[in-house]
Amino acid sequence: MGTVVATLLNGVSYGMVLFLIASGLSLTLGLMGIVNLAHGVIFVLGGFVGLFVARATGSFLLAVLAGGIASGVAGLIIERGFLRFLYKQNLPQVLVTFGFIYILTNLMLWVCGPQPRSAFVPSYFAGSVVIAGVSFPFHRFAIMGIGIAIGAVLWWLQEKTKVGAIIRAGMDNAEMVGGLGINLTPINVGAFFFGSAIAGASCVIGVQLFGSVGFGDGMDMLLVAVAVIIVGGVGSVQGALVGALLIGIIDTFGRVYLPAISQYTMYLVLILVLVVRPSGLLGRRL
Amino acid sequence: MKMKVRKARLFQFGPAGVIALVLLTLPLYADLSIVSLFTKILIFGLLVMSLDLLVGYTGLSAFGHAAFFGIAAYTIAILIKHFGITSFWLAAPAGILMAVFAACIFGLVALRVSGIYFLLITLAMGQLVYGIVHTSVGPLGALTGGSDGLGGVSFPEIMGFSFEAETYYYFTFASFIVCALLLYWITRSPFGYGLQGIRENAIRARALGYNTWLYQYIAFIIGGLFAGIAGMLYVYYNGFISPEGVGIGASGLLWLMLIIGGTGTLWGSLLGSGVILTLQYFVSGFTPERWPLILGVCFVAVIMFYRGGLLPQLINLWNRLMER
Amino acid sequence: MKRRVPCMFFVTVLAVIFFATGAQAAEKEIRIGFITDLTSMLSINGISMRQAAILAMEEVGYKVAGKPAKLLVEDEASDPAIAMDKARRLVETDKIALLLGPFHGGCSSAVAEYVNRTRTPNLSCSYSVPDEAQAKAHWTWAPFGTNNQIGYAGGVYAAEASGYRTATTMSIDFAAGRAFVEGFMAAFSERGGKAVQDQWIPMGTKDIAPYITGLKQADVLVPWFAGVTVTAGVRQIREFKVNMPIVFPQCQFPAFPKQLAEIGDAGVGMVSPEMYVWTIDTPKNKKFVEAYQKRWGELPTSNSGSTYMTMQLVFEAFKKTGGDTSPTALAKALDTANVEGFVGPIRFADGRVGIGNYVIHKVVKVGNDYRTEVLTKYTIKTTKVGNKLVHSVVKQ
Repeated sequence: MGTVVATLLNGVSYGMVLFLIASGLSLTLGLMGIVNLAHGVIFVLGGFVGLFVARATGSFLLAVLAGGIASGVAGLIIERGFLRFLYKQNLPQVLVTFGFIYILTNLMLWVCGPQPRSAFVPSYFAGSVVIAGVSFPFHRFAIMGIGIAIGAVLWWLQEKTKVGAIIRAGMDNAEMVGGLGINLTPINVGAFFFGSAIAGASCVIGVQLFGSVGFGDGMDMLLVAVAVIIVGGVGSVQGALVGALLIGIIDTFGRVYLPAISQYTMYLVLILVLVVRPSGLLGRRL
Repeated sequence: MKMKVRKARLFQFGPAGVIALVLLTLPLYADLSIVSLFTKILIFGLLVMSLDLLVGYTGLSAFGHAAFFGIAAYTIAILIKHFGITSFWLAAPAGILMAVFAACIFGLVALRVSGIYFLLITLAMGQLVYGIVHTSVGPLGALTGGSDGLGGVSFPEIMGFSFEAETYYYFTFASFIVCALLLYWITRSPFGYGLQGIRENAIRARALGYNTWLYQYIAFIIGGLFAGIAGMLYVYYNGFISPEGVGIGASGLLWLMLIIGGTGTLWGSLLGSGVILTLQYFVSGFTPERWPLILGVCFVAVIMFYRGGLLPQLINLWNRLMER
Repeated sequence: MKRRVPCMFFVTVLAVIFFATGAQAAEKEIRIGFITDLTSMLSINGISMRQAAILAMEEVGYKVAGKPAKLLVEDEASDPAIAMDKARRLVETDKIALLLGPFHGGCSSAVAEYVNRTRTPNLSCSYSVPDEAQAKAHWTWAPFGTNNQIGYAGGVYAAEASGYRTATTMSIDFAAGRAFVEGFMAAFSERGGKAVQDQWIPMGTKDIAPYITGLKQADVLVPWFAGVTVTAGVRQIREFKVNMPIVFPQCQFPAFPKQLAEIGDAGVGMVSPEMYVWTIDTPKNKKFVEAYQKRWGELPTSNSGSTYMTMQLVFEAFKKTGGDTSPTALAKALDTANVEGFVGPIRFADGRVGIGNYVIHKVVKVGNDYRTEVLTKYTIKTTKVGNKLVHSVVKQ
């Protein structure tokens, strides 16, 4: 019983980090039709910058902010510098972001060295909580809380504000929105910045759970995030949340109870969902 | 008039003939490692061609194409290493059949969606295969060797003839020519034109009575078949297959080769594979640690500025030179 | 017209490449090939290995046995297929006399198979392969022993010096990890200890918390993590308030000064066996640390130390053959080599496995700095019994 509860808690906290990563990816995919394959590397980049700031200042909040801004700027550079010139050509856009995986990973290795960076746990997240006879680090609960809070803000932004309404409309029919005299360009740019920034900030937050982040972790994180948005469905905050929790919990249970298939349980779930519902569990129609 | 046609033909196929001649006589004057490099170029050329059938002719942006390559290679390596089936006529067809079988199944799932989602699904399915061969636990791990990869495959013996590096180059060359001509024939057949029609306008094709789904599905399986043949050639050539040869990195590299050579040109694939593999060969002599960076820059630069591809431009250049 | 430029560019590149290869005839110099990881996650090891190899070459002025020498470093990218490709190229085109590396276990096994065929002397710069692979590798010398051999040293320490009776193991499920833990448990059980639990973590697991929460209490925790995941693993163990002492069957990062600082307080008290640490207190090591710091601006890692020693072994072998690069002459020179290392002499026993001289060291905090402290030394010897390798302690 203790193991089941512990595994469930681990799965949920892991899922929350996945949600934060995937929500940004889902936003750009839904709105612009671009899968930003460099999303995972941008996640790691934010973590490196954030952890550097955390060491220098000792402030967790500043670190999250710095990580978010660094990743956001990286995303902005990719969008403004490259993707913009490939307007409406989704495939080349995706391939450009694939190239950036190699570029950013190797640049990080070059500039920052091969050492993985270990997590920064602020004093107010230190300590532990005993549940079912197992002592859990408190920051796992903090991560769940932060995940829910950010999720709520994102949901509010997308469902209850005017910008959110434009974004949703843009996902359904970009031409119609343009025809209504709304300029989608700043919205797209903003979404790209914001999506990347969430990734960077979530690395600084989520690395407490993983313990450390290395320059080469981007690809793994990208693949999990892709699985999350396919399972949950593209373009909605709820979809990303459901997908992330599902993947997080199933992956964690798989690793404990079915280690023989644990390297691909995630993809099995994904294919199963696709066969039943090609648009994902809570996705907009394709 | 007749003369003119013959002259035009000569000019048209002259360069192709020269390239074929250079490739045919390569082992006579080139170093062993250059022969080895060109064997690899031919194998990847075929693999990229099979991807071109999907991308350039059918409009299916598959991002997990290396999986079929890997499935064939792994099947053959497993049969040889664990089951002692050294006969080329048993192992090789089994590997290719496995790749086709996987393509049949993956196609069913992936073709439920289209466009960028198709790309994502095929990417995920490629990673599923990667996850399976990367598993080092249990009976599966014992079979595939997990992250250590699987080795112990040597050049094949066909009808009593044992291949060596040079002769295997000719085997690869012959297989490449046969497969490439088959692919060329497919793209020029009514079926191939049907595919291109679907790529251009799926709704119109449907209105004309084409079963677009079936066309795409068959194309996907044909792509898997030729990728499987490339995988078969590769595992006998390298003697080794590892999970990295199956995953997203390998699939992405194929895309780069495809775009450099020219999408939808078929023969451009060989050019793309040649450019990238030669570049890799030489960069690793200078700055091996910066290869990923160079690869990434190539990726971005080619897509931003050079999407037309090398082959169409070379053909243009040649034609212009001939007109003078 | 504009379009023609890139086109011409590619054609020129191809042409240059063709001529360049033609010119690459083998010259009268000794070529040493070195395959290691420069781009993937294991580059933390590979980069420091390359630095040490370059330093060793510079110290001898790129001259070995009176002949000019060249070091050719290639990247393995943690991919056995790439390592094979690079090995083939180094041997067939560059005509190297001797191959160092690779580092990654799978790459090493793949290359060992290849050098068996081509009879190229191959030296591991680390304890890089399991017993099973080394037993099959006839042209690969392992100066620092096998995975099992260094694990064995850890087991001897846990049972003899610390007097632990029970152990709980937790390792990434990976050929090398299994070998390290097996070596450890062989020594531990020979001395009356036993395992109360064995947990195998699938490769690629990001969050190891599920395994930590499932740990059973024992005298000692024996974890093994692949490469860079050590940092994460050790921190998570401490965060979940596991209070068992930790003895690693092998863990390189306490011997990686920069990474040790990155692990921080969580690492204090960890004990592990190692082939080299920068805190070894001998004049020979002091000189090396100083030279290394001067050249590269950082402290040497365990991999730098081992690679530097391997290079000395290589120089010695060439000196013995008088610059003869034939495989048989080199093999004879290596088999009978006796070179002074940092911990003890490097010599070879059965199966071309080095007689391993290992330090057991412990992480301590001095002020704000993390250091390691050498607790003791063991010499472990490998003997071949049938097709299996068996390890035992050599009494000093």
